[in-house]
Amino acid sequence: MMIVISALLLMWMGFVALATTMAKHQDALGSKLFTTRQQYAWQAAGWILLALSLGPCLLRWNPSIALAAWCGLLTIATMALGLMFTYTPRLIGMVKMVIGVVNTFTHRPAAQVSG
Amino acid sequence: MRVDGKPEGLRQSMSWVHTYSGLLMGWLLYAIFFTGTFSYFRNEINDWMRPELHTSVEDEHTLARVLATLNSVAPDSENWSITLPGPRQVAVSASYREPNTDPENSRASTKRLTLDASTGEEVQARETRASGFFYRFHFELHGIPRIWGRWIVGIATMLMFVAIISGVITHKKIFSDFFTFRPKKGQRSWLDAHNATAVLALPFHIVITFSGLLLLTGTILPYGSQGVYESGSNFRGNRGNTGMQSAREVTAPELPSASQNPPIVTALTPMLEEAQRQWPVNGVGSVTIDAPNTSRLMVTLNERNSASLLSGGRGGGRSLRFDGTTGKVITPETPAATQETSVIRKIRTVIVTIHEGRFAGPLIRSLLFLSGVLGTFMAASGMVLWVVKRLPERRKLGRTPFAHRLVEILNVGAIAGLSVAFAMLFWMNRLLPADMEGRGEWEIHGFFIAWGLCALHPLLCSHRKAWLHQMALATLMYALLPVLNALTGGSSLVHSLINGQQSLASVDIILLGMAALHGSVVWWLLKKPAPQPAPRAARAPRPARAAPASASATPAARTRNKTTDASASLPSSAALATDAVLEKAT
Repeated sequence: MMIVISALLLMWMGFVALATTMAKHQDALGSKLFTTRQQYAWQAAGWILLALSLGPCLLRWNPSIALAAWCGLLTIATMALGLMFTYTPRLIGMVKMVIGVVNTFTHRPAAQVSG
Repeated sequence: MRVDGKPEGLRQSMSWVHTYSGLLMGWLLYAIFFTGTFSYFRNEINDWMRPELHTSVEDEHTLARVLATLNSVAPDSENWSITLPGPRQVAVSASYREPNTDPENSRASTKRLTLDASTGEEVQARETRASGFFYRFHFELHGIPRIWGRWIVGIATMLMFVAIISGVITHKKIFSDFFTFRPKKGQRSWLDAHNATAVLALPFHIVITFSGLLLLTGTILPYGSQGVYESGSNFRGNRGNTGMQSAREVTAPELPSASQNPPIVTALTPMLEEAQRQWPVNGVGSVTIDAPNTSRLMVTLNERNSASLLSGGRGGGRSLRFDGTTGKVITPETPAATQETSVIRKIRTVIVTIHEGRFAGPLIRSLLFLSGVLGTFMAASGMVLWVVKRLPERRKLGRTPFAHRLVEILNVGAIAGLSVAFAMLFWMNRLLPADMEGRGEWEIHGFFIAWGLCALHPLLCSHRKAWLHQMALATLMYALLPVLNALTGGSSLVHSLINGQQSLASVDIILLGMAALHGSVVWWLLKKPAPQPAPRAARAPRPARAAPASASATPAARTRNKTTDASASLPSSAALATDAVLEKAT
């Protein structure tokens, strides 16, 4: 059970990270003013998290079944995020805050980047 | 396919293919998806449908009791095999081979018993054909020759495959719409729902459709196997035509009451402990005992549920083999007998195994079931979308074309009607007398009678009312089933949860889930204002509620959406009135 929950959490976080770079959700997630660099970073983080979520599945199941389970869990994670965007704007607001905090800690000033 | 002969892009032509490949077989595909999804739980449903088994609760002495029973029934048998209760079965199934039988006909000499895990005694369950019926329906329909049924399902599956691929091409914004669902916007919402259920479970849809086709190749393209095997009947794809229900009908003799623990129980205890130590997670699922009550005694313990997709999901698990007299392990952990199989064969095995979900433990089974529910919803929303999308056209015409009305009627009958009919299977199972002659047949008759009535009902009332009535009926029928279960001798949800009767609990929970699903549709239909002569007043609070989700939409688009919403799934005359007023307002 813990394994399933951790896989779902990783997936969900991965999808949030990917959604920050999607035009439709930038308002909700406060990622409209992300620099290109930041966008790449969030996207990479998203894919890495999704890849990591395969880990718990592999711990629990034999590889062939783990892949099938992983696909099924991906469906649940995306559905959850999609429904949250529509029906729980407050929760998404909290996610937005977390994204903002993460961003301030990892942000490098633009001058250094271009210089 | 444009009538005016102008050129069109790939996407447009695919859109056309998608619409009509989907619509033509849509109702059938919906029924196949629906019954197929429930087939993931057909063993569980089969348990549920035999309340005589519901007293069976496993404890640590179950195996001892079963062995005592077998010892008194078949002490001279050359082989006993026992499958213990598990997530998918509540009772113990045992079989034994009778000694001294005709060597040419070994199959007929195997006797099967269903034993109550808490008493070890044999259970004579009622006759039920429901779970076998809907399982078979999903690949060969019912009431027509098997081969025709498979052909029809095969063609429908092919069209499903076409619809999935053309749907992906048609869908313009798979990635930017990935997490998007915009409710309360008529056609837009239906399209979002159709897309979401399709895209989010796309791997499932593709694999299930493709593997479904593969499973039917034996019927549709038998030439390959006919070339290899003389009659073609040895090939797996045709197995359904030959064997399958052979051994099930064998009845067992009257049982004497179980005697004292036979010596074999004491011999087995350390073996079981050893197995438990080696497989702490899954435990022992089945036991095979060769030559019981002799000095050649041999015991094989099989791990429960540990297969991989490559092994085909059966018998791929680990097993331990013991010498019965010394209690020593003969071969520690024999891996599945790996035969040399071709890559093609392996690929087929993997794909087919996923379709049948034979490998799946409770968790993966529910994931597969959920994906199936999404697929079922995808088919349904696609057909509703066909109607909703044509409402503007209908408004322009000022009347309802016959084809539109026909699709509406078929939609209600096929979608809501099937839900009612499926619930009817469960009701018939419990309401028909347990010892009735031909009750298995009547369960199925009940299903078709209910479905037929539901198909006629939308002729008598408006489209919206028809949906409402049938959905409300389905909600009621599903919600009351767990109650009926407890009242008609079954194990109530509380009882089955406390006693770990997973198969029974999962069916009750699924039935409640179905009630919730249908109930939410009823709630949504009721909340949706009925057609009224003064549509503006009825619609007033709408824009405010829809505002956060549609912040980016232009005012014009918003009004248009609202208009479609107002008329979605309403009869055309009312929609026409609503629309006229709104259009004037814009």
